[in-house]
Amino acid sequence: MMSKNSQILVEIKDVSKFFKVSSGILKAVNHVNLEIKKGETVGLVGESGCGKSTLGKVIMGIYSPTTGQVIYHGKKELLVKKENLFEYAKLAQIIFQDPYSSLDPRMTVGSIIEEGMIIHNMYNKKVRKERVYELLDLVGLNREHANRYPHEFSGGQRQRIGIARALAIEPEFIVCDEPISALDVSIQSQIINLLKDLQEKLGLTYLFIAHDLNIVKYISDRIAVMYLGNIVELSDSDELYEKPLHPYTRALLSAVPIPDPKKERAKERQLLEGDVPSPINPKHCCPFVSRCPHATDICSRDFPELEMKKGHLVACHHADEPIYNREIIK
Amino acid sequence: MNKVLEVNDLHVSFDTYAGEVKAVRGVSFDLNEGEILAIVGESGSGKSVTAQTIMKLNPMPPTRIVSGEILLGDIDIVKASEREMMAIRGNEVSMIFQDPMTCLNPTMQVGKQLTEAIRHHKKLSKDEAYREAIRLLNIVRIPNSKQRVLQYPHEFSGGMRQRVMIAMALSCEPKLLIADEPTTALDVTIQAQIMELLMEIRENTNTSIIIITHDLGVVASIADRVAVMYGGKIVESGSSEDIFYHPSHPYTKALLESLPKTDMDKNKRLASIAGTPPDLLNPPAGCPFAGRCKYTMKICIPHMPPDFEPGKKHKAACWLLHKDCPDPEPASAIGGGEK
Repeated sequence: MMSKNSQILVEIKDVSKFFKVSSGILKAVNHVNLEIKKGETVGLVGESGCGKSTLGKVIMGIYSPTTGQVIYHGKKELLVKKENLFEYAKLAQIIFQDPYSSLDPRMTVGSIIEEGMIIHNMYNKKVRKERVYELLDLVGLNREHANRYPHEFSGGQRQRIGIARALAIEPEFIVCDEPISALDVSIQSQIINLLKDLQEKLGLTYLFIAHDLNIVKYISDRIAVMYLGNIVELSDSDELYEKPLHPYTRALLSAVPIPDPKKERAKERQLLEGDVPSPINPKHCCPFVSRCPHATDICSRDFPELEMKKGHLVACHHADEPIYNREIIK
Repeated sequence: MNKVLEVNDLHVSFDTYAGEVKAVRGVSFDLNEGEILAIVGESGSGKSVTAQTIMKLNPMPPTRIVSGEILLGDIDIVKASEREMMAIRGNEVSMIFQDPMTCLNPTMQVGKQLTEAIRHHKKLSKDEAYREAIRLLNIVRIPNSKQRVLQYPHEFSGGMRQRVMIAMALSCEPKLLIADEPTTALDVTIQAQIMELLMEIRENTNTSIIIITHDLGVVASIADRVAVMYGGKIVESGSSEDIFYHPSHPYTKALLESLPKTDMDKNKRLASIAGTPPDLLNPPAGCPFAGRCKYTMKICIPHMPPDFEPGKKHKAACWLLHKDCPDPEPASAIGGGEK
């Protein structure tokens, strides 16, 4: 892994993405700030509908943000104009969740991997062929696989093809949008190991979007927790697991079942009541107020900003109060 | 304890254009009253087919129960006619499916679908059914049940729909509840709520539950006993403690090792199982895991190992457990198989 105090690669500044729907405005991503340093892996976790994939797509330039901007390498203009997006696409790539629908069934694996290089005018035909073989080796597939079609491969192998395609144009930043959630457990660890190896070899920077918290902890240097379009907590991954400050993070961590019956059954569980509220026309208050066991008046009046409290960034009015103690007394 | 279900040497195949896919190849297990059995395995291991066969939900053809028996009390489901099955489904055995979004009828009020089974089996009047629907929604903790029964599925969230499915499954007080990946489509905080609900139901009604899942965390939180399936066979079964603390089959061990632990060193690689599961069109004659196993011996390829009993009520099908098998590695090395 690269040194942590190196330069900022992607700066997400006050980014929002709102969608107009019939019943109002759906605030999928709500004024989010996040910096991703070169060579690090930032995990983005949250439940479905929290806006994590939308944020990933804004960062990739697939959606244009409603407010704010994504600054890549200090260059503002990259993600604004269409012609610049082409240049940006060479630097940043995405790996999709579903390896079944994200590969064209009528193209051979070789041409899927080669396509990006053709579009970006990279190398001549002979070198490109060679590169395809190299990439197949790199992701643990065989050269003979270049002439086959996606349907001949299993889920894990397809995800490897997706990774090879993303790597083909030599990007420096990859958004991994739930790259393993469609895969079986025994295959998941293969892909995670591959992503880690590639990061070491090629010095890649990852934004790793997932809902599996154990995997995210393992692969990420820092983790951002999203809830209803907002980042509610942002911290080093070890610290987040040891000292979660936001009540949502704590509930989320306690909800993840541990594959160990004794620990799992002894665990003190914090069950959240109810469901995630609708992101359509949210009130200007703490997004978590309706499910929070510690909510007070101020939580339904004021929107908590993401602030440094007790050593890391958290958006909670009560994070620096001893709420833990209050629980014990109760 | 009373046995609710006994499955003996069940073989299920699908007849496809490419040939006979042997999805389930000799599965045996039983289930006691009030017990929660988890069947774990990867996709294609045959776990869902096994569960669906208990209710005969797979269309026949192409599905074919080749041999074996499924004893539910005195009835052998394999031999039961469709008419007999109609009396069993929903009444004695009921099922919860993975995807609560598509399994409810979008054009029918929730209260109505909820009581469809009970009206069929117990001949309730409309009024009684309405009251029953409210009672069921209360059991699964859906607030405002009086208004909710008149609403349609699209007005419910994913977690709520799964609760409706559970309520529906419970409506006739079945002896056996089969939950096929009940939480896979749900978020973790909602998953925790549903698991809690299932435990509560077992507590209150002593219903036996079979839970099909690939998530070992879910297994650890809920199951009394576990059956691990691979390549259409149960390769290991035992109590949840046996499986998690004394796994005997190399597949179970590898599966447990491949999970990232919360306290693990980030610089260490995850243990992974190389290769992919066997193709059940041409299933291997021997152990299904032989192609990916670290300890494969000559015998593993042509001959399927019988069930050995490394502990009481703990079974594993692996030649390594044969009494004459030399210790492949010191026992400690098997436990910590990473490089």
